[in-house]
Amino acid sequence: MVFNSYLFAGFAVVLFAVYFLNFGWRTKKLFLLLMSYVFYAAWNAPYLLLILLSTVVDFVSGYRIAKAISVRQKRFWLIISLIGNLGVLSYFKYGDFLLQGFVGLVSLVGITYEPAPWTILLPVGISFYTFQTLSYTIDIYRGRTRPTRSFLDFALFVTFFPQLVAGPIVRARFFLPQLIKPPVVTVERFGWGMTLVLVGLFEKVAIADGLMAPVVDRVFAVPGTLPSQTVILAALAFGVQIFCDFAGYSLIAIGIAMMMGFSLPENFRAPFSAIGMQDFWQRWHISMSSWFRDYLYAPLRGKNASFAYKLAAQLFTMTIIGLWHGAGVTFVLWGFLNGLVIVIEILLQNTIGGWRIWKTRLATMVFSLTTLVIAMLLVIVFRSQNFQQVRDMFASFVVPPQTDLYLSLTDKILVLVCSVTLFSIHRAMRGRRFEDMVRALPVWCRVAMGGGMVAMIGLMGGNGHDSFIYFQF
Amino acid sequence: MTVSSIFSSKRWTPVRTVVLSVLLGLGIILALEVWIRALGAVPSFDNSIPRWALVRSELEADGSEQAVALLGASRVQAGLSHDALREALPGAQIHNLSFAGRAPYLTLEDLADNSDFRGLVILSFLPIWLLPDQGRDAQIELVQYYRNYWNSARALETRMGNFINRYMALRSGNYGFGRLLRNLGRFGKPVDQPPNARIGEDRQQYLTLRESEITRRRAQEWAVNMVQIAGGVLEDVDWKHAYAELAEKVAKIQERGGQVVFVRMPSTGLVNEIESELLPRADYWDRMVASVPGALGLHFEDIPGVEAIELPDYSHLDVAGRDEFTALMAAEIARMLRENGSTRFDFADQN
Repeated sequence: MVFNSYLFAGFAVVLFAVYFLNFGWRTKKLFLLLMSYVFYAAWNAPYLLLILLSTVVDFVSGYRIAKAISVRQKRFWLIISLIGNLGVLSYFKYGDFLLQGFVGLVSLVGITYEPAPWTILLPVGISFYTFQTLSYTIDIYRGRTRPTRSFLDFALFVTFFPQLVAGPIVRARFFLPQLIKPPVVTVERFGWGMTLVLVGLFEKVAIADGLMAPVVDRVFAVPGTLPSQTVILAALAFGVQIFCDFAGYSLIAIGIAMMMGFSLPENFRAPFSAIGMQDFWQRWHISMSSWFRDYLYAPLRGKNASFAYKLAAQLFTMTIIGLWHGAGVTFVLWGFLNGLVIVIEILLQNTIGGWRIWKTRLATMVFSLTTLVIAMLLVIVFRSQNFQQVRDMFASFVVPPQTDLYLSLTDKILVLVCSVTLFSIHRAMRGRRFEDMVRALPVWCRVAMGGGMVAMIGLMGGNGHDSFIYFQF
Repeated sequence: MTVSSIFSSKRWTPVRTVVLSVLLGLGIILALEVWIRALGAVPSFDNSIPRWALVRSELEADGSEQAVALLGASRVQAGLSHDALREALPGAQIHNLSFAGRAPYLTLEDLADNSDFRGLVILSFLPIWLLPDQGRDAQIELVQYYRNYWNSARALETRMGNFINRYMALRSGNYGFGRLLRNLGRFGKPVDQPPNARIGEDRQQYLTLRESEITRRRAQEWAVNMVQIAGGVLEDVDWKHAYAELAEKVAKIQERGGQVVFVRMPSTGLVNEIESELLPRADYWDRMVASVPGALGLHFEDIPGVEAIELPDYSHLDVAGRDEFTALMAAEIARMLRENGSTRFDFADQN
């Protein structure tokens, strides 16, 4: 089930109607768990078994790690958890990618191997819930959290529907304490939750799907080189699309959780206002990037590693982040290039970073714009279907000017208006909270903007898009 | 209480903002709906994959001999009238699985693999669509969606969407944001609609075409494109093998008591000239039909009276001609089925 569906509207009505009845907390948690399973089953019921498997394996592993009397035993149960989660993830998400890699490898030594077509469906949200449960067992292993005794609480932590299929990736030590006693839902908090849901739906339905997706799909469906201005506009459009798609989902998830009295971590913090790619990755998909920082980069880097080794660890982590986004070489390349830019940035910081000139307002502006340009260039790699398309897209910048036959004037104006508006909002939001921004507006202005958003959601919704881009990750 | 006192209340809560926003948003939508209706807009359904899958699921649930699956691309979706078909084939349950712009080979394969299907397939097919790069896989997205993702939740979602579409012209893709913006400047004038303005809930497409410079130019573009894509590849094809594959699919349907009728939808003018030149009937159409044992074939040139029907863009029937053409074509199909000894429709009523 997706948030921008009629079905979810009905689901939400039933959910809130029952949730706010005067039941005990345990009954409410059971109800939430049941609704979370219904939410997932609406997409694919048999794959619920994978979630249940992940839940049971990590609940038992977490308990055993905590009770283990030797390091060896602890390691054993951690490995069980790692194999259980990463094994399932590897098979379902990377099985075809690995198989194709194997076919390519054996062909190098002259062996022709033609496996049957890979027909296994990718379970939606698998990258999110496996990482979420992994953080639980790893944190227990590291002594940073204690296992919960309640299977119900743990199952709800794994399956909590707002963030089940596309994050934010929630840590157990953040969420499990919220399940101990019933949260207090105030009218104010409920209202802010509704506001986030409205803004999230607007981003997803109106901007990402309604305005940007048709432009992006049209341009990226064309083989060969294109006019350079078309590629630039398509990159801007996709930058806006993917942000509004994913940040929109996160806002809805956080908003719905807030309406029930729960807190979910912030996932985007005005990323298009970033100054440098390191800053960008501290603002984009924060729950994922911080997961990789804590559970991959930090152990890789160690405590006394050399500077060069730290850079290599950074590059490796970013490449894996690319792979996490999809089982394809373009994703790996995208991650690697992000890592490369970050490495260059660190090297520059360590050599000329101390110069006073960088502290000026103009320099900050230039850095911010440069970051934006790099991020937009990299999304071309992310969106391309294969290496050939990546090459064609970048070759478009050096081929002789051509007439743009792909985008109408309306498309161009919409892309420019949406991207400039979004980037300006992010600049304005740098260092400010969403709530403060909204409160700063007069009430009539909030209502007018909200009304416009509702109208655009109504006009553009229900157009057949039944997934979020990040579902495929 | 004045308006300013409402908005300046210090105890203003976000809930009030959202509720008022929703009311305002719904008001805007209602006003726009009334406005475009006044300009002549009518509700329409998009040609979406979930809507196709819903019809596919209804066909799967049907399972009767009277089930009629319409397979093809835009010429079928726009050119065949369900009512006229029902009249000529009494008791027929029409399921329109055609999809504009996508050749139907994979849907035929899907029906062949559907063990409960034993109805009649009316298949608009060009031999060139048997080639992998020329349309063979064009409906893969539809079939994969149906096989892999379709479930009762998606069916319910699609039905809910259809319900709203029935009453709201604004929900149609014909009135997308860009089109709406353009129409904002057309006060009092007819709504700017694309020629293929309306699709019914049953997926019939109602075209309103006029022969014009635009349609002539489009026909020329199509002809150039056809020559480019088909010109060089036809001679190298192992047609015998391609036809054998097609026959295999049809045989599976026939084994369960089903029947397949190949139909060649009409074309005129430049389009017909190019089609006849690239794919001469005797070399392609007739051979293809003859290569499929037990299948019936109906070429538009063999239907008496069809030559009088106009095709404004030379390749598609519009609302002015579709009923008449379908009646003529369906009468021929009925005749062929009767001669074939078919009892799936109650032809006795017609005598």
